[in-house]
Amino acid sequence: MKALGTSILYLLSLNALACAMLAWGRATPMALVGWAIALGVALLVGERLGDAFEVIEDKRRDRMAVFLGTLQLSVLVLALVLAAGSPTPGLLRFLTNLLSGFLLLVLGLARLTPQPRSVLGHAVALVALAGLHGGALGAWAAGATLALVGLYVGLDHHARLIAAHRLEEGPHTARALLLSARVVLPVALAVGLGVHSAAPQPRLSPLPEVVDDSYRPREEKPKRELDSRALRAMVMTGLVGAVAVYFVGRWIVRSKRGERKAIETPEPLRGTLEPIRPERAQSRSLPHYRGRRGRIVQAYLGLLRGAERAGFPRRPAETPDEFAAALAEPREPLAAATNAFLRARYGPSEVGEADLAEAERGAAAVLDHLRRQPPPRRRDPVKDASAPGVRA
Amino acid sequence: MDETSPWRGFLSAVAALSGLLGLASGTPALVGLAAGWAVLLALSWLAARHGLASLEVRRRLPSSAFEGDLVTVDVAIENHSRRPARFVVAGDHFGAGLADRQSVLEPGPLPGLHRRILSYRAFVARQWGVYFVGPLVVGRYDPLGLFFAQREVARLEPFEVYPAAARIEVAALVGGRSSVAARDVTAAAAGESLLFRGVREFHAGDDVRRIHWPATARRGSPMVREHERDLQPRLSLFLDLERRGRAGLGRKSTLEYLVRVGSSLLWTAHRRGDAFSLVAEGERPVVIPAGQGQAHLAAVLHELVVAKQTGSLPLTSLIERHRAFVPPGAMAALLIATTEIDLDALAAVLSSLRASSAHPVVVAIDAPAFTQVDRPPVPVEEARALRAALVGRLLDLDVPGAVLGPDDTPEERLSHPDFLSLARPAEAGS
Repeated sequence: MKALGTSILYLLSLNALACAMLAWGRATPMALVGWAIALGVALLVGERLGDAFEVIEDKRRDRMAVFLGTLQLSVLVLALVLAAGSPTPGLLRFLTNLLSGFLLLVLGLARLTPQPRSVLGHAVALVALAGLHGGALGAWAAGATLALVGLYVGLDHHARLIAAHRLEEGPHTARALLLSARVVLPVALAVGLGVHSAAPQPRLSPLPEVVDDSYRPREEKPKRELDSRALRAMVMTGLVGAVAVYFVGRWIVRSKRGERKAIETPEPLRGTLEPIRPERAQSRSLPHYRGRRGRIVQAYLGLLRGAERAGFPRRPAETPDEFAAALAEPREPLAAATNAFLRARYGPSEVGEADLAEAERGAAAVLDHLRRQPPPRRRDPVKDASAPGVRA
Repeated sequence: MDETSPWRGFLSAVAALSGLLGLASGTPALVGLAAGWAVLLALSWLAARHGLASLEVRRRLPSSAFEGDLVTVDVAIENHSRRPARFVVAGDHFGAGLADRQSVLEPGPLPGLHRRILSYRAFVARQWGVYFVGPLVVGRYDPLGLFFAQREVARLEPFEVYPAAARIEVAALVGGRSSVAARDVTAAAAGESLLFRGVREFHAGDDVRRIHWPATARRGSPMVREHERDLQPRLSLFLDLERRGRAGLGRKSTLEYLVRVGSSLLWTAHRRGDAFSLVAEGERPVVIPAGQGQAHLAAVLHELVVAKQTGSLPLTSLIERHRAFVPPGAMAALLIATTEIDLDALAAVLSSLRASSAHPVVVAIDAPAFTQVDRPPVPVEEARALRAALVGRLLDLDVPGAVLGPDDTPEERLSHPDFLSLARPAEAGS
């Protein structure tokens, strides 16, 4: 699972770099192959250095991570603000090359922290540069980045979960990838299609600025968009932001240290799978019969429900004949419905249309009689044990 | 494993920045990236909660254990839905252990309407007392691990930890003798002992294997062998929970010593197959009649670990009140919390027990030598004098006994062969 995660990290970096290069850099095939090799080597070095970083004391490593993270964040924010403020091809090419080179360093130090946040952040920054280009490339960059980030996050989660519970990764790698992909890929596809439909054409490059050297009065000189004062403000904001981020990062690292709980993940003995009995309510559902038998049974059950509503429920231990004897009236239709039910439910021979008609007619007549002349409420031997004056 | 995702906050911040940048620069790709992440967050939140209601988890574990034991806890994860469940986490809190929580994972797939039992072992790391196990929770992550949803499904269960008992070898010399097998105390005089008692006529219901054939041949009618009933060894423990015996703190307290010595005496009796009873009076009277077996031992040890020294009845009065619990031949263990005891009353009780053929044993805790918690400290000389007086009286009465002070470790003293051999203390200055 770790190897798969590293591969996705590599693909994420390569995709981000290639998109940015295709958008703004000199993206010859040879150059891209060269960058792919360089990224691979940097990532391998980073993975190797991970073991070396393990020996550094946690506190010292956290401090290094916060410092380097602040530096990286400052560079990324400054670069993106410059890119968004003055998106000239030359500046964007310069920034793409700068961030691509920086990515090699970031990959080399990827395992300084348990989670390679710096790599993901850097990849997103490169994708942001590619996104400024717009068009199909921007849509691909957004969708693919979302997909790869989601897959990496999902795999990383499952790897940590399985490692924490000391299970073998092998049987669960494919399932983890599949589960993550099922959530991430549709969203990524939708994002890619949505972005492409929103901006199908690449953004046009601004026209080259023509410098007018002719004389004009001092007060009429046009102001350039990115003057030195704005640049100074950006740099100052970046520096202040970097310091703030540094202290916030330190505070987060320190505050998390005290919250850790001792969670034990014992290796349990896994028993065999056992079936759970269906719910009691399900087992009490009425039986289903097909054809004429079913219709006769349903008719008789309707009779019983009607008698219950009229205050004369069948007792659990009572047979159909006993119930008919207890209810008594109307004698003939009740006997007809009861006999038809007994033949349909317990009889060996197939019931005929005559039986069905007899049962349905009898049940309807009994229900009609019960509606017109409700029977006296039947005494429940358990619930009404002390209730006087009720007929048994 | 920490339930908070290391990625959720970071990637949300990155996505928010991308979205802002995209809105500011009019870049749909960045806005789309942020929106996609927001959708993923929402889907993950829903996925973590989806199907959680159909997951059940149950726990099964013994209700008690001794200090240092390994307890097996069975956690059954049940999937009551029709769809398989994957990566289900069950969290439990075993109060008698050191960890804040135990977490077990069922990676699945756990088919619908099936359960799997995961058994984990927890170490009883805490001292004797009553702890709680639970609450038991069942939870699951979304496929990206961004959210963890859990549901509490079981309330707290009490779990008792009994003190690690030391086997007291010397007690075998004092009480009844070892039995061949445990027997019912209400059996008739003739029993299943190996000792031959005689021959009698055959009665209906007698085991034909007991027919004594030579005697049958001589008498001309069936005769059977009869064996004597084995004496039932019995221990009656009288525990002093009077308030004035309260002294010391934590592991160096009289209550700690009382409980450890008491549990060791009972455990030793249980191991030998003896019947044992407990009589005490703290905040409420505790009278457990003689019995045998694991369940009886658990009942008696339960009373020990929940005992409080809040009583007002002296131990001698308690014994007089419950003399019926000491049948002839039984061992009566008197566990006294303090040496500040009415020696004359104690002597009278011991003599009375002796008179009824019982074997009294006295184990006293030297409470005045412990740190006092609710009264001024007792001068050292006075404490020594009290101890010497008690030891002297016991020696005079020839009653086996022991006095434990704060410098003694109960476990070591109990397992020593001379545990109940008193020595007259040396006179001061000699």
